[in-house]
Amino acid sequence: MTSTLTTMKRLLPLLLTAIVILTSGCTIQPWVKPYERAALADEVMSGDRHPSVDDYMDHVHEVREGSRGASGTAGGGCGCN
Amino acid sequence: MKRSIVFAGLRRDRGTLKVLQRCAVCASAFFLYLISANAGVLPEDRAEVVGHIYQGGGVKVYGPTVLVRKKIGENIDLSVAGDEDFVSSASIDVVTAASPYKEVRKQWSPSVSYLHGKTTYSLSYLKSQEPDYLSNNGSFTISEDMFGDLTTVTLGFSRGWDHVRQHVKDDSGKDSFVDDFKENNELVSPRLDRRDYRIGLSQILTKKLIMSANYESAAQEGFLRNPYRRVRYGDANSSDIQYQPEIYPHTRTSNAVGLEARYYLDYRASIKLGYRYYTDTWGINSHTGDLEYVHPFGSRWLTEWSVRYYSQSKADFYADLFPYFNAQNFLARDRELATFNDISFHVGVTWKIPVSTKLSFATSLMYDRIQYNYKDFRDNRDVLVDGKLTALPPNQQPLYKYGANVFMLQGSLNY
Repeated sequence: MTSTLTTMKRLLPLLLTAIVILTSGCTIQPWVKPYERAALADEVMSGDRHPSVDDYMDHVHEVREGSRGASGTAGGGCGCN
Repeated sequence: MKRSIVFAGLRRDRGTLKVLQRCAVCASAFFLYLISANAGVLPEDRAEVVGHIYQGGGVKVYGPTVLVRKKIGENIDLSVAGDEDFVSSASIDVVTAASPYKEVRKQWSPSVSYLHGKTTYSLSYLKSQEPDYLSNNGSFTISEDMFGDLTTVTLGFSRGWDHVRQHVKDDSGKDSFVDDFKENNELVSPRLDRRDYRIGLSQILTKKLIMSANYESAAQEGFLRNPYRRVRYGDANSSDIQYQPEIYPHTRTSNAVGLEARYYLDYRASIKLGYRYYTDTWGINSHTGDLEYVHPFGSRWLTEWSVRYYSQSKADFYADLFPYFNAQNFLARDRELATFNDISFHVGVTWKIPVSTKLSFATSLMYDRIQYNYKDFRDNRDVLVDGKLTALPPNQQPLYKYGANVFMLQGSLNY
C-alpha cells in the first residue's frame, strides 16, 4: 500500500504537468485560424438550417424504422410505439 | 494516528486521499479556466413555422410545427417548440385488423441553454400526447468548444417515461381507454422507462472540411409492444389463418454510431456524406447512408438535394407467419421489426428576404419521396378474384411495399 501511495505521489507532478501541457493546447493557435473559416461559416455548410424540418423528418423515419439514435440530436418520446 | 478507510476493496490513507482530491479539484478548475478563457456563442434568435403533410401507406398526417427561440442577455437562450399532428389512418395493419381511425398527437418542448465561457449547458423537456400514448422526456446536454473552437464535444443524457393505453369500445359503443394489459394471463405494467446516453464530437479538419461523430446508447424497459397489433399463425398454404396478440421482451438496449463529413466546394456549394450503424439486443442491425448537396443561386436562393438509404435486418422474434399458437416466447409481426429497406429523395428550395440588418425572413418549400420495400412482410389484404374479395394463402401473398410523399412549407424569421 505504501509503495502504491509513493508511486501516486511521484506520478502526481507528472499528471499535473501533462494536464498543463494538454490544456495549453487550448490556447495555442489552431491550425485553421478564425479568419480562415469563411467557407465553414457559409450557410451552405450549416447542418442546422431548418431545425424544425429536421426534427420532423427524424420523427417520420423513427416511427417507421426499427432503429434510431446517433443523429446528433436529443432523443425524445415520439409516441410511436 | 492515521485513520484508514476501505474503498473498492483497497485500504487508502485518508490524508493522502484528501490531498489527491484537492489536487484533482485544482487541476480540474485550472483546466476549465483555460478552456473557458474565451466566450462561445448561442444560436441566433429565431421564430419558425412549418406546415407539413405526410401521405403514404393509407396514412395521412398533417399539421403545424412552431419554434420560437430568444436570448436573454448574452448567456441564456430560451426556446419552445410545439407540434400538432392530425392523423387519419387506414394502414395495412388497421384495415386488416381494425377500423380506420382519426386522432390528434400534440407535442411541446421548452428548453433553456446557459452559456458559461466555452461551455453550453442545455436542459429540455418534451411531452408528446396521443389519446392512447403519453410520453414525457427530460434531457440534459453539455457542449464544450475547445482547442481554438476547432473541436466541440457534447455529452447528453435523456430520461423518458411513457404510458401506453388501448382505445376500446364498451358494449354500449362508448369509447374508453384501458391499460390493464395481460401477457400469459398475468397483468403487465403499461409503462415504459427510457434512458439515452449520448456523446458527440465535431471537428474542423481543414478550411473546407468539418466532420462529426456521434454515439448513442439507449436502454428501454417496460411495455414495448403495440397493444393493437397481432401475429398470425397457421399453414402457409391455407387461407385459414388464426391470430394472437404480440408478445415482446420487456427490455431493449441499443447502440448507434453516426459519422458525418461536410465539405465546401470552391464554387460556393457543399456536399455532405453521412453514415449510421445501429444494433440492438432484439437482433436488429441497420445501416443508413445519406448524401446531400446544397447549392445557392445568388444571395437569396438556396437549393438542397439529398438521397438517403436505409436497410435493416429483422428482430429475432419477428415472423410474418408463425406455425402455431404461442410458437415461441416472444412473437412480433410489426413491419418496423421486419427485414426491409427504404430509399428517400429530398429536394428543397429556400428564398431569403433581408428586411434590415438585424431582421431577415426566409421561406422554404420541401418535398420528400420515400419508398419502403419489405422482404419478409406480406400484404395480407384481401384481393379481388373474379370480382369477389378473397383471402389468399400467405405463401401466395405479395411482399408489401408502398411509397410516401412528404411536403413541408416553412416560414422563418431571424431577429
